[in-house]
Amino acid sequence: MRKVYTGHVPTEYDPQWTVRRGVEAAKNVNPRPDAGMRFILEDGSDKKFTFRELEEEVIRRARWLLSLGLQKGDRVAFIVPGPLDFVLTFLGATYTGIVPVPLYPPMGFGKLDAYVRDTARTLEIAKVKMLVTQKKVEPILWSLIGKVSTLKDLVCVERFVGPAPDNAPEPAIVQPEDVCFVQFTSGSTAAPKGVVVTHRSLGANGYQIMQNGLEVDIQNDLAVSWLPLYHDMGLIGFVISPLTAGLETCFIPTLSFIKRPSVWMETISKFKGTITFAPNFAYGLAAKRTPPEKVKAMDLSQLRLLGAGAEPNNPLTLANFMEHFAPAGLKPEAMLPVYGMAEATLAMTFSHLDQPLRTEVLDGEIYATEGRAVVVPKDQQASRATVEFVSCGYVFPDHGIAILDDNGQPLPDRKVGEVVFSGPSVAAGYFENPEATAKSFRPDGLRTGDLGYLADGELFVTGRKKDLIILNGRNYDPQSIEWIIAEIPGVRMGNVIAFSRPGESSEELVIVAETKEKQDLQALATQIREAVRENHAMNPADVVLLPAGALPKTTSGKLQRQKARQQYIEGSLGVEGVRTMGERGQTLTLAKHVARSAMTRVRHAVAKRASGIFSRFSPFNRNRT
Amino acid sequence: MTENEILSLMKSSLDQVAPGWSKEVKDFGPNVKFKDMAVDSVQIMEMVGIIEERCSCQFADEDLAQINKVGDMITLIKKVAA
Repeated sequence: MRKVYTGHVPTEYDPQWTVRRGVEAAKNVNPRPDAGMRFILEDGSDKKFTFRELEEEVIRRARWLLSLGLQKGDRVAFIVPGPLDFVLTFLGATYTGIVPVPLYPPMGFGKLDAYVRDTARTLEIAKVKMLVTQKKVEPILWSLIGKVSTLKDLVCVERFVGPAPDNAPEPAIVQPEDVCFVQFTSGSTAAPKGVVVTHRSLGANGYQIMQNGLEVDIQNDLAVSWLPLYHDMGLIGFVISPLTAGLETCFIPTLSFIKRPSVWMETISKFKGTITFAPNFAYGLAAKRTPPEKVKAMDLSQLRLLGAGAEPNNPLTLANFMEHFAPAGLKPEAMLPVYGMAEATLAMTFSHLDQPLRTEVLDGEIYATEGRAVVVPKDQQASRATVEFVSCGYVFPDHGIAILDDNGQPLPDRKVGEVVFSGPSVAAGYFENPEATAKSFRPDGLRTGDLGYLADGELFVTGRKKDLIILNGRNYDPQSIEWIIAEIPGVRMGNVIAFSRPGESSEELVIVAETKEKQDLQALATQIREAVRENHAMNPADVVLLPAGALPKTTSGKLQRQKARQQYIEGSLGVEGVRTMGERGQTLTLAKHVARSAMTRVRHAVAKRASGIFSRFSPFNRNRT
Repeated sequence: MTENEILSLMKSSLDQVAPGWSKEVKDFGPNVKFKDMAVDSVQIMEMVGIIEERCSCQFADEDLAQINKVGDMITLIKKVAA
């Protein structure tokens, strides 16, 4: 069971919640008349809307959208880089039942052809009628018209000046079961899937996040986010969920954070932010790019919750972050691992607020052969093979987490199986994709595709089901093998993939690694084989060494295990797509130097204290890039 | 700024983002494409942030979106940081 830590008394749950009800209620729920949403603009200035002003602005934008001929139920693509215009127009659309399909804007360098191709593919599936955007990216997006059969028009938010035209219809009445928006997974896959999110599932999940996860105190809490708003952690976590509680929020443009990472904690210090969330990499980036003299000038003493999700968490990166910002008064217990995915609307479990980074060290042998989680006492950990997992916390009230075997039968405590989530937060399925919906959205709950175990209600996520390597009846998580190899000098850290291939009698282990320049490849391969033998007592059937840039990665730099495996089996791994440079095609060995150097430093710093742990928990949205 | 000055500014910015970067790079010139440089999109935007700070300027998002080659970036820096 979840415990309550702050003396917080949850407000009453509104099963009839819709965005409209949230927008209408916020001004009354929060007793502070100046409470609302603040938007940091690109030039560093900011604009605030109190909840009262927000309601007026949302209705104004809703009527503008209706004046364009849009109706409740129409799907509209949202490609809006600025947080102010994104949030207010998104709320305007959903207020009246227009269904946004938020997509990432063409930001960063080049790759416009691929961007337009992927975006067009997604919009075709979503059958959007109109594209809402901003003037500055409009010229790039016009090429979508004509590429998407249902897309008839493009409108820039700059057009919504002054009161809506007199002939604009009144906003429609929206029911809780109506679709609120469609959240698409990665745009780089051949058949992107859109998760259909209803007002009711948003109301349910937002309520749980605010009341039982964060235990918000709306008199004093302020949530600060730079997260992209086309992703659920940014959009649901910081726009919709706060509305269910009347929580104040402050938005920083995503690109401002990437360009000047110190802006994140500076903003929290300036406005006395108490809650923020980010994926692991952002904690590394912020620590690296915020010089100590800037930290000293900050006051982070009121920051009580730093949520960590969206990608596997490295406790060392998080520990380094906490250490780096400690001079600003950051509390060490503020780090909060969370677990969720778009199919669950957003969050499924939250860690306890007083004990956020709890881990379990398990017997590696029993874990691999029997799939059982047996804790190894501290004094025996040095002499045995162990695996370590971070607690993801406890499921929300009125929701359920079960661990099922391959036949759908429930497993006992401490037995590893598929994590299945149930309750009112589960989304309505994939957009016009009954096959995929039937596979994941079952009558007894959402099949997450993640593996994990329960220990007295506490969830530990151990890996991704499809990535699991099964050799001779033993189960291995690819990360546990990859992390060992990444330690070998000569291997480019973070650029190792382990998977299995079909062998003559059973599956066999394959290791693929990118190497640094000028390596004795023969010797390196031997070292890799020895490391795997020593740590996992098995022999890789094949060790493939490739130059930098040969491993398939997502646009955000995550390794693609399944794609690497497929390329390996097809014989195309490393043949195409090697990122080279210059006329002589010289291969670069670069990529993740940043993360690597930060990691090395932290490792040295905390090796003794943290006994070299390197563990993880399952991410938010792991199915997206 | 001359082309060479801008090139060394970009190099030192990338070195700040990814220590040791320039030592690995032999051919770094206007015709090199960013997508071929084995730096990820976050690192490139970090580089842009550092250049903005050093030049006390700001590049428009839509201009950055149209950049493919190092030469495009040189042209943009010349235009904005003039």
